[in-house]
Amino acid sequence: MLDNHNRVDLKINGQGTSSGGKYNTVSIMGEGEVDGDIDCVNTKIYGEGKLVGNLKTEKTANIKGHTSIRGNLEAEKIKLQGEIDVDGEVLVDEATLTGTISTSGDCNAEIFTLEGGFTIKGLLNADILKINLYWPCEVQEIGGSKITIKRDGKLSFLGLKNMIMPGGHNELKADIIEGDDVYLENTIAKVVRGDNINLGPGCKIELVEYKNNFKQDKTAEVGTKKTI
Amino acid sequence: MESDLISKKELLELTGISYGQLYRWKRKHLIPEDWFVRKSTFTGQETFFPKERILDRIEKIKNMKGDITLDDLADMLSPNLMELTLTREKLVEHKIISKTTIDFYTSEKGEIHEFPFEKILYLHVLDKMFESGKMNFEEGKIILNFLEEKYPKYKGKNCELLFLRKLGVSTCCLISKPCEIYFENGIKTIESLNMSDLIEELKIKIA
Repeated sequence: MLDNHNRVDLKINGQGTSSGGKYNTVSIMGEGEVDGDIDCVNTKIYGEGKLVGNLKTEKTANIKGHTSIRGNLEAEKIKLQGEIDVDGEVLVDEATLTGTISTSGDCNAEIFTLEGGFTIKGLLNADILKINLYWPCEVQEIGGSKITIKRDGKLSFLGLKNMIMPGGHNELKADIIEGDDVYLENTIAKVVRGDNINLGPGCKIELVEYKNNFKQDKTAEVGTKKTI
Repeated sequence: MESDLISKKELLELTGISYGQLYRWKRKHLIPEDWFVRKSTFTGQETFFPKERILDRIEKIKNMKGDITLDDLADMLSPNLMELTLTREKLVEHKIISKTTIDFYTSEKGEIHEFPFEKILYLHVLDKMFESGKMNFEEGKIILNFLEEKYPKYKGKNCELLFLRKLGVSTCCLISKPCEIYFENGIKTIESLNMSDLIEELKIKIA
């Protein structure tokens, strides 16, 4: 589709600004600011990136460090180690995130894997959703087919944090969670709906509506539950 | 206009689809964002849909998803215009537009050989109205000129064409959806056509 031959690379090493445009590879190493929309094939941001427009990446966006995007983020794959703030929506096929993500709009992905935390003001919509909570998370709504939310995984890279701040629970707060297979830990939600629901330790759910199976840990608190 | 709503729960039960499928289709923009109506109920937040339209859409997706990919399906269902042109012969041959309507067009605007999608859409509107007998050729001119001039402003957005008559005088207007509009009693709405639905219809016909 894209005539990549005519596209050049955008490189910012050290500190610099750009006004955006169409590129092949965009790489920011250090500190970079882009004042317009970017349409490119690959993106690499190591360090700090500040994008005032939309970022559209045909293939992979690789972000290490801290990046803020004023517009929407669109990519086939996104790999994050660090922190990303998006003012608009996120539309990706595959998101592998280590760190924190915050969006003001919806967050859409086919596969969404996160170790860390997030604040999503809209809907988190993913087919396969795997979250390991290392940080408090907040989202309005989660929807998908397979939803798995666990507290700190085996790889507790921030285990130290829990030693420094004991009692600081990493909880996920949501209004609605809907999926086919739902497994939750440390989750506080008003409504959870799905075919198969399994509530692990630390859940506080006001209303559970399930179709086939329902299991709950003895420490999970459930207000009302009913079959649909 | 669309007071009949269905809750997400009822919808899933009725159609037999899963949450996963519904969210996947939403992600692929097979179901427009503005069909998701959030309401507070005594059981907390619930999402509702315009009943007839969502059932119709899901039926369509279910029928077609075996033949083409979801992305292609999304293109087909989106209110964006297709980028293609068809010859006059093709249009008649595949029964996309009736010959009378094309003749009407050529007598008004002169002979053109290749019809771009936009023009085919206008012809489709005229075709529908002529066929239903709700409009004569004289009024067809008004609509054709009006659409050619104003419809491009609505590109990619959902809008509805209203055809009105009062005391034998007819007129038309375009309104963006969703919106509420009220007329005084003397005005009769002869026809209201949802342009996105027509585009969808046309895309399926052409494909």
